[in-house]
Amino acid sequence: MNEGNHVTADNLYLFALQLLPEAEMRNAATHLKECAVCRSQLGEIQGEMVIYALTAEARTPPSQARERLLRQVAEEKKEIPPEPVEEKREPVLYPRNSKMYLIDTPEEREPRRVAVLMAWLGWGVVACLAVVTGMQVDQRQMVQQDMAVATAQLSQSEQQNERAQEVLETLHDPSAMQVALRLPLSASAPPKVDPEAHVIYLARTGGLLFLADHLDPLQSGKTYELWLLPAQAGQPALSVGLFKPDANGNASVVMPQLPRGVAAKGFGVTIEKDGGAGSPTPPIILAGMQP
Amino acid sequence: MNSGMDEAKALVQPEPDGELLTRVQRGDERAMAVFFDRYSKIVYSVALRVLRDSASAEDVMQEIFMQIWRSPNSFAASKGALGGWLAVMARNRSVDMLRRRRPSELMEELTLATACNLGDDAERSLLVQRAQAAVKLLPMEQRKTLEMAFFDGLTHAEITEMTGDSVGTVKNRMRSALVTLRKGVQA
Ligand SMILES: [Zn+2]
Repeated sequence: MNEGNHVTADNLYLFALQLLPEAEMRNAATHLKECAVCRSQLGEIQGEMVIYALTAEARTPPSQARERLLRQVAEEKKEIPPEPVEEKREPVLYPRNSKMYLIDTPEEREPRRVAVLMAWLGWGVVACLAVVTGMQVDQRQMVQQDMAVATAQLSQSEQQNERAQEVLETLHDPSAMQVALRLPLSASAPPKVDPEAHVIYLARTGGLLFLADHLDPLQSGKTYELWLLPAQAGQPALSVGLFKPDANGNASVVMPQLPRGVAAKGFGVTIEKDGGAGSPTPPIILAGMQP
Repeated sequence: MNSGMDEAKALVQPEPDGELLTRVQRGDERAMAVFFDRYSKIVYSVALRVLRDSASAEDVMQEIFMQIWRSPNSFAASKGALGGWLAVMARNRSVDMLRRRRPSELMEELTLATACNLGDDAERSLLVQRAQAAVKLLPMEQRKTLEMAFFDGLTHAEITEMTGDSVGTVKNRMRSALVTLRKGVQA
């Protein structure tokens, strides 16, 4: 490039600030396209502008702005190009407090399910999906974002909002216990797809999220019951909640009313009569223990 | 196999902008929510400072984020400087709106040179503190001139008219002020 034509330093500043007359703006832009020297100087000036921009008094945008953006984003949906064939395997994150059970293989994960489910099942199930997908870093973040959206949408009702906050707290608390529930090791001849479940439990607050899938349908008059097995020896199993799977074998228990501060050594699922039982009735269908 | 520490770290580490952009390219709307949470405050604050009207500032912010959604590729070159670039865009678009002119397309080339990651709260607040301190140290005329040009969107000719200073003086002050700021922040 002809060095004699470099944009002068003064003009680079005016260009960066968009203060040059239109014709001169164009000339400078044309030169900048071809001149790395001027481009690098412009980059420095823009870096200076960032520093100065940061001195603007920090203000939080109005709360509806986020919703407005996401609405327009949804309206301008994209044609999604096909996934690259050789997809990079995300690292699988194993449950931090449980080494007993392997987490399901990546092939079984369906991140898109989160969005679909959210539309018709609501945030409770989404919260639980976080438990399942939470084992994988990327997906956990995605679900947390969904959770943030869901939480924002729930803000009309303070009570619901409080509940959503509890869910988020349970999800995010690094001390929360995560347990994968599987067929007990003694069970023989597993069915075509094993039922499985995941629990995130925060003893401090009593917050609990549970999601199960591939559950067998129940006979009429029966229900599944989730049990917390207290860590303290001699304490009876605590009923967490009752649940019935949907047509696809999915079920969830979200933030049941649990006492605070009960340390758990594990969780189990049994089949009980409608209305639940006072203590678990064998056999235990799914179980997960802390090592 | 990861160690427990790595796992814990992986859980709290935010997703880099570049990966979010890739998700936007794939049409992942949730990535936009993350971008918003990460940068809306910077973008909105700058726009509001220029426009002094919350509805207009919100409009500018909306357009800037929609541009990420519509053409994520054009932001791919921003590397670690996306936050900074959005701040500059917020200023430029707001001034465009103030002056009732169409957004300039001449500035779309990403050239920004900055090593700071504004998506990182700790890094950003440190930078903000330093920038604010550095501004306070500027000579009053420089500070005023920069404010008029940057936040009030006045041209150097207009500033000349208002202050009675020569064009050369105005240009010089703007330039010196920005250079001083950079050095002040780097120091
Ligand atoms: Zn040049």
